[in-house]
Amino acid sequence: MLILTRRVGESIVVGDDIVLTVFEVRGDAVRIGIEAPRSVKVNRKEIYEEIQRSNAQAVSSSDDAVDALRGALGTPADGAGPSAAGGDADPAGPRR
Amino acid sequence: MKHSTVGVSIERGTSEARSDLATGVSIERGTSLVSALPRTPTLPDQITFATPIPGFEDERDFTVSALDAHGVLYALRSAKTPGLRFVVAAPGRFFPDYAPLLDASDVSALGVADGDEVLLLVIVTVTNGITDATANLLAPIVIAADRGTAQQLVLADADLPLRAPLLRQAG
Repeated sequence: MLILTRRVGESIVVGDDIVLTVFEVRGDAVRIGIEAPRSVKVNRKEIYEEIQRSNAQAVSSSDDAVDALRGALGTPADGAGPSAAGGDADPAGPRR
Repeated sequence: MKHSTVGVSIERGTSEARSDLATGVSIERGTSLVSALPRTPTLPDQITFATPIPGFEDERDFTVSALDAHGVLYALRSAKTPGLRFVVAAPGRFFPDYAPLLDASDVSALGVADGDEVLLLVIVTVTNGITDATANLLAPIVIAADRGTAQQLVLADADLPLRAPLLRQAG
């Protein structure tokens, strides 16, 4: 890891188009300004990690629980209703 | 808004996307006002994540299949890993006020052009029972219907919940 010392008002350039600027240091908190193209995703690391965890939990959703959820929506669980395994992904479907 | 369809448009810059059901969004340049699309965009059968889903960097290709007849729940199944499946939902059924800010540059990875329609779906987690079902409103899945590309977009509004209770909202 590259570690640099910067003072308030000083910046770091990453690549050609990303600039990090130290705006304020107060106690153990540092305010950092980030200039980057909108296509570059900038996230607080803890939020990104939270989303990783949430995604990992999401894929472990059980089939039984998913079926129960479908039932709670008033979806026909069998019979005339379309199969859960069906490939029809038209959200317009029967909704009007 | 009174429409029953789900489309909305977004503007560049300080745009805001609004929709009763918030599943359809149109990318438009300039200063156009938020407006409803005439129809519900159709989900493609297959999608490819243009940027990886956090935590699933090796999974790019998914099939899309409806789980109900109402256009609410869908399964995204990995084309690569059998059994790897996300359940996603059109948010409007559960979160009628959910209208996140979207900007064309946020979804530039999708390769969308002005006027393209994108769909917004939220990832559902339901582990024990339906009462604990939650939806991730902070990082929805954005799908460019015409191109079959997708992206999990972390929205700038950090106040949006990562685990919003699903059914409490449905009443």
